[in-house]
Amino acid sequence: MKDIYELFNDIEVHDNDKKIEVSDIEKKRVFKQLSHRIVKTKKQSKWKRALSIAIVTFGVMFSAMFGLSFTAYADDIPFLGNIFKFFSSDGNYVEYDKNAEELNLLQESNGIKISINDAIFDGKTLYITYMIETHKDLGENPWVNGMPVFGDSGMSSSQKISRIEDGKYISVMEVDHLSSFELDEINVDWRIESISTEANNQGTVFEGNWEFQFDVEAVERQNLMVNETTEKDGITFTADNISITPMSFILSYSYTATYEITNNWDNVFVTVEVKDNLGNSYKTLNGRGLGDTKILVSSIATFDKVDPNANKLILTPIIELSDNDTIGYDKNGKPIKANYRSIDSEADYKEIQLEEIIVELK
Amino acid sequence: MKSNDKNFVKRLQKEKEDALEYIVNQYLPLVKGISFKILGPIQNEGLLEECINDIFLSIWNNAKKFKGDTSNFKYWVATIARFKAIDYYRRAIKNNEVEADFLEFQADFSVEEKIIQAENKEEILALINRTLDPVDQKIIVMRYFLDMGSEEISEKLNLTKSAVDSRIFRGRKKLNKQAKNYYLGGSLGERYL
Repeated sequence: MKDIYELFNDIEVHDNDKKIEVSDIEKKRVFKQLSHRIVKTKKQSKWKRALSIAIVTFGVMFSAMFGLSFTAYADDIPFLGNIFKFFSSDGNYVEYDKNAEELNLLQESNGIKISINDAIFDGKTLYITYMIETHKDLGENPWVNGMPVFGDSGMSSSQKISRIEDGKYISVMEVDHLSSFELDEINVDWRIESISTEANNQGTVFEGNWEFQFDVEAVERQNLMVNETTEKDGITFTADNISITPMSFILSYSYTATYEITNNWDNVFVTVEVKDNLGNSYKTLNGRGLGDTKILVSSIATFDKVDPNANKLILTPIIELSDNDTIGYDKNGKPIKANYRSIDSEADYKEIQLEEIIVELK
Repeated sequence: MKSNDKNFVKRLQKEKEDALEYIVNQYLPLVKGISFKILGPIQNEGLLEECINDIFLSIWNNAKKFKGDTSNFKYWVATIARFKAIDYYRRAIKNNEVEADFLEFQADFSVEEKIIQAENKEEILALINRTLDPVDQKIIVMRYFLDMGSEEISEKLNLTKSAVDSRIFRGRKKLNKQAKNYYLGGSLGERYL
């Protein structure tokens, strides 16, 4: 069936006479708005698709039944050492293996075995370790197409898949939910439609059907309301909350920038450096913004485990203001901006360090 | 690599953002002009802006469906712009009518109203695809999705105005009949018949 956009190929509307004048600034503004939205539509569509499956009662019942009957428990997975430990060589995921729930679920389709080993959920982010085994050539950096779904809002995810030997890959997947509150228990539904050798279903694509359903309880955590604000040069930073888990702590914060700043700078990034009163500094495991404008952005960042002897955390917000690359000049000599900034860019850059916020640990 | 007048369609279809930037720069005057002509009377700046964004997003999302080269891309853009702007216009007008609910009780809807009412145009489009021959498909789409008059359609298709009129008449009749046959009890049947 031809859809409307295909039909439009045969209908040429000649409306050239209707053109009206548009300034360069307006063009830039429209493009900027669009560039925010195209990313979103992609994310949303994936999520919506997953949601539409999940909310149909029949779908849930059926898939739960299939899930139980066809999900083999992977006792026969050869022991390969803890996946978290593999990825913790760079200092990340310390203590995650101790607190993780062992799942050992196995699914095989199209000659590719996927097994989920452990899962751990900190109220915000779900971490899943999994392994792919196959005789097929998935290349150096395969991509798993299909995201774990849980909770009741959109989510983002990151994953790094490493080849440990021929035909064997391991990975830790991180998935956030975007609710402002934390969840205590989640039902996870992970359907993988294909595995590809390149991102976004590109390269060689291996289609199949791998489906996992399981529940994960959040680890015990202690909440510290912080609600401290600091301000400088048009940026207002608020540390909202710290949630301490057995293996990490999660800082929720938000910031606002004045109109002058968002108008004058293409990018506003805020990171937080964290130290304690014993001199330890903490590494960020992951961090992401949840706001949809540059004006008010709420973020969360996950850090390493807190030293049990520390009684103070010292947060230093660092604001990075930067401009995108200039890729050319128009006929009036005005610079034409790209919508990206390259790593060694010489475009304007400014760093502002805000006053520190001290949080007492009880 | 950057988009230019030779490669921008290919780059757009590969979801390169600089191609989007290129088409905004090239076609915003056209897209805005068409949208403004249709939505201007409503005097709602926000609606106009949303419509323009929606047009470009549709172009981005459906770029792969464009069959042609860079030279006729602008006609495809113009067609989408017109389609979207008319859709926005109709929905805005519909929302403004307090008594719109009463329409639901009227027994006999015209094809035109069905198209307007259909939030999801896929069903009606499937029906058009199934029922009509290619020329009639075109005519019905031009008439009801793009709001073209018989004269404009007749010029485009090299037909006489009366031929267009009679094809519209027969097309509508066929559509109504098919809708009754196939969709009785289905979602289209419930909603429209």
